[in-house]
Amino acid sequence: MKYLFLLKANIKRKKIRTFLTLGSYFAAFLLFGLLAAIQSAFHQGVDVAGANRLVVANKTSLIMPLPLSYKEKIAQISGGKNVTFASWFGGYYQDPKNFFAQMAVDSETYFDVYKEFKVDKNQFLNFLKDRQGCVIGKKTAEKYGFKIGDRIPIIASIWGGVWEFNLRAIYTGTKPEDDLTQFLFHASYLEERRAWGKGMVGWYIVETKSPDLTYSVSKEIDRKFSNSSYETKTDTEKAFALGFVKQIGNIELIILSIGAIVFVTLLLVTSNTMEISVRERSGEIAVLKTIGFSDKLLYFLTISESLFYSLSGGLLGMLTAKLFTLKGDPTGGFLPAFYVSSNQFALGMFLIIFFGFLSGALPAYRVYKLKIVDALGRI
Amino acid sequence: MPVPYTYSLNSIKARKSSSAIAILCIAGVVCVFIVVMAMANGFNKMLKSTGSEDNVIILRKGSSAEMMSIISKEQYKAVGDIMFIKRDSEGNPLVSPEVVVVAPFFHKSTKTNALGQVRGVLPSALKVHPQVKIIKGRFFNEGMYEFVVGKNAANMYEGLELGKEINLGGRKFKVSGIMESGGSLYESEIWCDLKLLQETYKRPLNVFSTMFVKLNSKNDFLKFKEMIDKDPRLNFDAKTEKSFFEEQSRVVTTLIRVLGFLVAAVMAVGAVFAAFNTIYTSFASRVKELATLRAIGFSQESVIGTILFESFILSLSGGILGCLISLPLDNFSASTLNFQSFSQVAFSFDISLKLLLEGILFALVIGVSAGFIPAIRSTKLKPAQALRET
Repeated sequence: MKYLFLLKANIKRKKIRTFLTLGSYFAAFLLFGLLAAIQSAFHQGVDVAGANRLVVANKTSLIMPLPLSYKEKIAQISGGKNVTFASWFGGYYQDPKNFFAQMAVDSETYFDVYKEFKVDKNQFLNFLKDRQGCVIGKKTAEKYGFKIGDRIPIIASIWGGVWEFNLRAIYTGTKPEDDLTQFLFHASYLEERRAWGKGMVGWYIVETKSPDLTYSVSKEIDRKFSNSSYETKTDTEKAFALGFVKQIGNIELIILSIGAIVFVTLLLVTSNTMEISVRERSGEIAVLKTIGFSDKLLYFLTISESLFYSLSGGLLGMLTAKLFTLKGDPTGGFLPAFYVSSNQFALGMFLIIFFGFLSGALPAYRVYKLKIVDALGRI
Repeated sequence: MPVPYTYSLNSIKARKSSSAIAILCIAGVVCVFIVVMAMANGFNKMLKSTGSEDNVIILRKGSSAEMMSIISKEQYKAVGDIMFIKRDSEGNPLVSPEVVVVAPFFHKSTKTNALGQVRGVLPSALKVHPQVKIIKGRFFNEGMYEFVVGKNAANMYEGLELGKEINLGGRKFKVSGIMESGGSLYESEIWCDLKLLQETYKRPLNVFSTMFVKLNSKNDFLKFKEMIDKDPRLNFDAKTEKSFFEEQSRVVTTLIRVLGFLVAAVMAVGAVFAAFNTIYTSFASRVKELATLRAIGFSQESVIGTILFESFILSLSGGILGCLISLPLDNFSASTLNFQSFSQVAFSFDISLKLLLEGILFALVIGVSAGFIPAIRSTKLKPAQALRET
């Protein structure tokens, strides 16, 4: 540690260069953090998928409905434990820009299937008692400042008119990737008030007794309804979500690959800078060697300098990305989960150290091998 | 006397590795700039060209996607009688009843079945959608199992090349033509004969999904909408084609705009840092050499000139290289999900000459301004002092 002043002197030698190097690392890892958040956002559905949950949707397309009468028929299939359903409501609060998913759900059973959503028992009972009651995820409640007991008007773009709901309960999650933005209310209320589409629901979610049964149960459901006017397509929740990610298409791939190119370029540049800066002070290094500094010590000092740049610039970048994601989803509701997971953060840290070493390694090796006579003899 | 330009050229040659890194780095910056802008341009072009304002789409109230909507033949006839609708030379109103379904097609790049939108129309639909042009082959013939495939759909899915046959609902359809419509959403669709599609999907012949109407003038829209709203037989929503397609792609638009912009902004900053860093570093380590030039009699201005000239050459070559790297991506088609209808939409990257020139200009601005700092610094040092620097 007593050589810290040497390190400091080297860093301060060319302030602009230090600034540019730190800036490159900063930008590279800010980018890394954001790309990580984008990736988790796209894969959110896959990450939260329950191993023993099945999604039953209309075979033609998810947006086509299924009859309400299927609930009893699905419940009869052996291997299934809980059956619930949901319908897309598709409204908005005050402005179309305020997007969060609203769903009319089978209120008695929905939370039995989605066990990761936690609701206070008393609040939940109040919700069941109120025909116009609703349950909102913590994130949405915080974003719009909704409190228990509030009356919330939702403008229904599909069904028309303004629908008012009473906030009776707020649910929380168990994992950071859980979707805490949903707005849930009684399917019976939708059924009662809508002018058409009666007796239909959006999709069913089936929980099987064990994950091993998902295959046989899904086949059984689809077989049961084949050749009816509403054929079904049943998938595990994971396959359903993965299919969704694939459908979103190569946009994600394009963003990620452009980002990766920039990331690598930035690191190439920083290692080049390090190389030039060491070459430039070869005379000085020769003097240090002459007065007794060992090869190993100088090797170590060069690597430390490189690590200093990568750690301070890179960490700042990662932290800025983290702070940015804490502010929530930048699209205003379309990505319910936008976060840097702890795994991704750890990967970022590893890359910071790895590239710090890598860009310092070659120059440091040069310092290590440097012959005093050669360096002092050079003009 | 100015420093001969060959000096700069030789200097670039002499420092092969650092020049190469500077050029590559600037090429990377320019390439990223062009690709991001090309994506944004292509996407905007799709949005802009899809809807004309004198075309109105009519859907059953509350349908968020065309395939959810239902219109009966009587209602279709009733709409045709409303004023403000443009008529062709024979006096027939320009209305187009359409049936919209989705069908799975094999998506080439994700290697899975993806849902594509299939639209059944009458041959006269082209009068209502004049922006649709056949670029290869011909339009389908009435009563024939034929497909007209949007340009993007043809690229996106397997087996939709001209002349090929493909299975839909147990029927073989032959691709008779490829259509284009200025980058619009229709280019992601597949069109065929209305009646045959109804038959194939076992739909009643007197029910359609939606209808498009061409108005005399876009100023008539509000009056036309009022007539629809007032008519008790019609529980319809009328929207201009433009606002309907804007609604349809709102999620995708927001995703692409916000995420694309966010990533592009950070990338641009990073890329500028990188380019600055290389050019700056390469000159800053040449203080001695520049002092030597001063010592042998070249003026301050000409030394600054030579630095700027060298960074100009580096950034120009980087800029051109960046353009060349990005060029193959012109017309590259990106596809994503339409969150309203859950079918695929595609758009093409649009690299114009203007964009390429902007890219090169961008490179020159970064490159030359990065050379500026060391150039100014070199003038502050006295030659004698600089030569003594280690």
